[in-house]
Amino acid sequence: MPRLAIESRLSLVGMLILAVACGDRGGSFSEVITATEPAPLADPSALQRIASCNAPAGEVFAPPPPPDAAQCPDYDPYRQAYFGDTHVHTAWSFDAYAQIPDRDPDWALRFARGEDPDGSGERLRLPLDFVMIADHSELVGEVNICTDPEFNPQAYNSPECLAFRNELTGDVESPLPFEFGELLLAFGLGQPVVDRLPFCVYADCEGAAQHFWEEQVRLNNAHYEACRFTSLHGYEWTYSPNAAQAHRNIMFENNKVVPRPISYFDAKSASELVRKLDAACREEDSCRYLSMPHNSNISRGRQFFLDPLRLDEPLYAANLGDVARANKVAEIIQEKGSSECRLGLGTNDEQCDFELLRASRPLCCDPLQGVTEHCVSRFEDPNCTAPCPGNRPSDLAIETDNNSGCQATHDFLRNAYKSALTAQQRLGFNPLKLSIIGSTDTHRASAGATDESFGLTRRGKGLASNFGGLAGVWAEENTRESIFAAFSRRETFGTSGPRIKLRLWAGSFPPNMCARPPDELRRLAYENGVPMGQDLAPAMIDAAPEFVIQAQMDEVPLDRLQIIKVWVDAAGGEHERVFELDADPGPGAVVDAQCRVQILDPRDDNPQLCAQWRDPEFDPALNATYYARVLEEKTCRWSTRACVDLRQDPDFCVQNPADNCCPGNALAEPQIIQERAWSSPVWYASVCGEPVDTSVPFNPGLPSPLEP
Amino acid sequence: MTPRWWGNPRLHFVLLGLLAFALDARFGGDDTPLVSVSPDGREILQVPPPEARDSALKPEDWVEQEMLYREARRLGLDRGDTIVRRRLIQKMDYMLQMIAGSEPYTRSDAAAYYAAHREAYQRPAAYSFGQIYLDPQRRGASLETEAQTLREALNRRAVPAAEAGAHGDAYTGRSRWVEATPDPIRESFGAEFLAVLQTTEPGPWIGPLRSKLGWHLLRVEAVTPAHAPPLEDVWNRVVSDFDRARRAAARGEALARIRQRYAIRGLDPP
Repeated sequence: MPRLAIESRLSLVGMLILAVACGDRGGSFSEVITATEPAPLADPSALQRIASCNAPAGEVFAPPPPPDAAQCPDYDPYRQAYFGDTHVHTAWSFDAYAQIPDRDPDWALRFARGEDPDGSGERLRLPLDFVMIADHSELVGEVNICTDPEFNPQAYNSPECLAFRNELTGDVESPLPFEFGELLLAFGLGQPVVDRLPFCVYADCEGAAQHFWEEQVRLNNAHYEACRFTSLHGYEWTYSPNAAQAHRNIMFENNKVVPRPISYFDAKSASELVRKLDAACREEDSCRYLSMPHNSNISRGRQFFLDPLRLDEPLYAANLGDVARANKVAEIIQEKGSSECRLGLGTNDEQCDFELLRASRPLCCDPLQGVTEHCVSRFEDPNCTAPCPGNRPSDLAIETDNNSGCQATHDFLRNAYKSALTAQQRLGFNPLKLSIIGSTDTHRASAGATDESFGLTRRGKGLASNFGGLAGVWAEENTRESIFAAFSRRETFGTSGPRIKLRLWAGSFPPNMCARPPDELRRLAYENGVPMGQDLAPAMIDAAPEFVIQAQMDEVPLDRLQIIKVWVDAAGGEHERVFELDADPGPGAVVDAQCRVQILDPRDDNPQLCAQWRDPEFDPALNATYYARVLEEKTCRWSTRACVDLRQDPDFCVQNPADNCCPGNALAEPQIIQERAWSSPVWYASVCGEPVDTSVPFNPGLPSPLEP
Repeated sequence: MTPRWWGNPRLHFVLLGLLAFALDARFGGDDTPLVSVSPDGREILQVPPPEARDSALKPEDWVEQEMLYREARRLGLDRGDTIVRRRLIQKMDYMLQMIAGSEPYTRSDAAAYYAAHREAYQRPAAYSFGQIYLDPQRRGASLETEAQTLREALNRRAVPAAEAGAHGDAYTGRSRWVEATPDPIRESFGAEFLAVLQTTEPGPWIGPLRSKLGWHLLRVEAVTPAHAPPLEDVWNRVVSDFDRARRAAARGEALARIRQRYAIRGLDPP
């Protein structure tokens, strides 16, 4: 065999060298996706009885789903109560950072699970069943840019960030209780036209927001433990035109969420928010969400406004319809006050004087309700005699109008339910079918810390605020799917803080429901009626609607059970009535100066209440809305408990004579309250009205602050 | 006849090779992405078929995004951006972990990990029981006797705990509890009830026992003492934790190897 000639060998070597030298040095690494999802639950809706305005007669109840659908060993097809807090702010919210810079969402989730994350001694008595962190989607990126020097050094040293960290040189100490920088940002959000902060031009505010949203989702997933603890993804959309608050919390069912929260920078009205969420979170991708308005009590007439002069406009009606589709649940109480009702605004129910944040605020201009004078400045015109400009409630949009934080009649849920019934006649649908929950809106990341005994931690906050309430649901098991389904079908209730259980069905029931064993009661109730949150069709009623209501105490015995009915008469007049369900009430508990509750009459010692009640004033031609309320026996408010604790030291008032707790000051007399729970309503409609033709092309235009 | 030395083909071959390498060194480069150029000198932007790109993106939108992306890289916008930097760090981190993760492991590896970390998977004692509520408001003074009568009847008929909801008075809470831990039980019924529950073997109906709500008959169905569960029951969690530990270890080793290539200055001595 001939040896390879030297030339051939060299050629071979040369080719090898060239091949190695010029070979592909690049390469791509496939991106790693490490998401885990809990297994989906089979459809649990068999217990639902949907009866809409135009439902056919004689709908048949479907039996509960088979146990195979369960994820958890304690799955109960007839549902149990679960308690949670769906409104928790952490250090990532711009208006919470200054108080709690170290309490990130991980801290809040651990607190919600019953831990004491930083050894401060604050801890829940019992872990929550579910929680949703709802940080403000606006400015979440900006907060982190302003507080993390590594993010973008130039932005970190911008005037806005310096102000946020209270580091503006030459700044006079602000007399306001919160940081000047926060105030700046809050006012920024309150302007009629809001844009991002100037440093967002060169610092990636949107990217930062997305980064922290993803981190939030990751933390929620790390803490989610199906059957034991449910953490839901969500955020808060902070619509604050002219410092009115018309915020909504957005809740997602599962791990399919929007890539980035849709904030007020992206959607300037509630209907635009819904449309953008619909586009980004689609049913065909198994993405589901719902929207939860809150704080209507400080929305200055905006949150639940239904303009009677525009209900026939197709675009207005279409926007209301979009909003109504997503807005399923409203907070009836939270730290910034209760929103059920206000004594004197459409009601003389004394129980409406409960944790009102602005009990004495003037009324918003509303000539249609007879309010023709208002306050532009409480200091210059304390009697509020300035005539309202114009003759339409939409003049609320004018910046100088009602600058003192007015309240409108419809800012309260009970009245909003009334105006919704009126609007239903013309819209063909009910635009405010809101179920009820409580939550905290804590800006200290202490999810579910509603116990009044946390009193001493609250003293700096102001007497008018409270600890907020809890959200309750009736669900088959403690999983994301089951809890979200309960919210979605509106089988929710709210408490003012304690874990009071409240349950309600409406329909036509066999007699003596309250004398039956638990399983029989529940089965008959679901088979012969609808649970709270649903529509009651005329076909389900014998002569008059019947209600079965159950309530169970937490730590304090229950006082009494009530049903509140609102309706609109044939002439269009709005009415309400509170029905007392206790035929033989006792004298009530007595609270002594040490805040000890004494129950002297056995009729007041009610660990549970149950009632089967038929509406004695029912008129089948009139649409109506019913909900239940249960009151605890009297107890001390947190403010008085804090005083009792402080006055343990006999020298306290000697050394601090001007303290609120000491004689001659605001809390010298004890403040006594009755904690409570509210059920979601049941809606009865026999008359729907002709629906407005909403098949018009969408034309955004420039939204006004009153646009739904 | 022998050619001149400058005509030698071997020399030509070597010179050509040297020329090729010289040209590559002068004009070649590692970083520039290879771009195809159209005949008139413009960069070619080839729209990939739908299966090779994000299918929700319309082709026109893809073109726009690709142009913006290339221009951004050309302008160096990816440099000096903290978010991009963090993303790259994250990707590198994942990559190191994934390389470790591609090593196969056996069941006995996972089992050995579990044996070494048993206390992390310890489950607290869990109770399955049925309780029947007796309402003092409804029954008044005769509650005691009625409770005993009911209890005896339940035991005579050997009614299981699962049927607790079919008996007693209307109750808004849970009649049948399955694998519940002590804290929620104490919240619902009180410490005395829990204490009795914890010292009762599965057996017949007992009571009545007092709680803040009233009186209850209790039947303990099953008690699972605090224990480390068998590997099968926690297999998913163990595998996930073991995997994470493995990756962390491998990541540590990989970082140590990478570190050897750097002369680190300015770090305080440990």
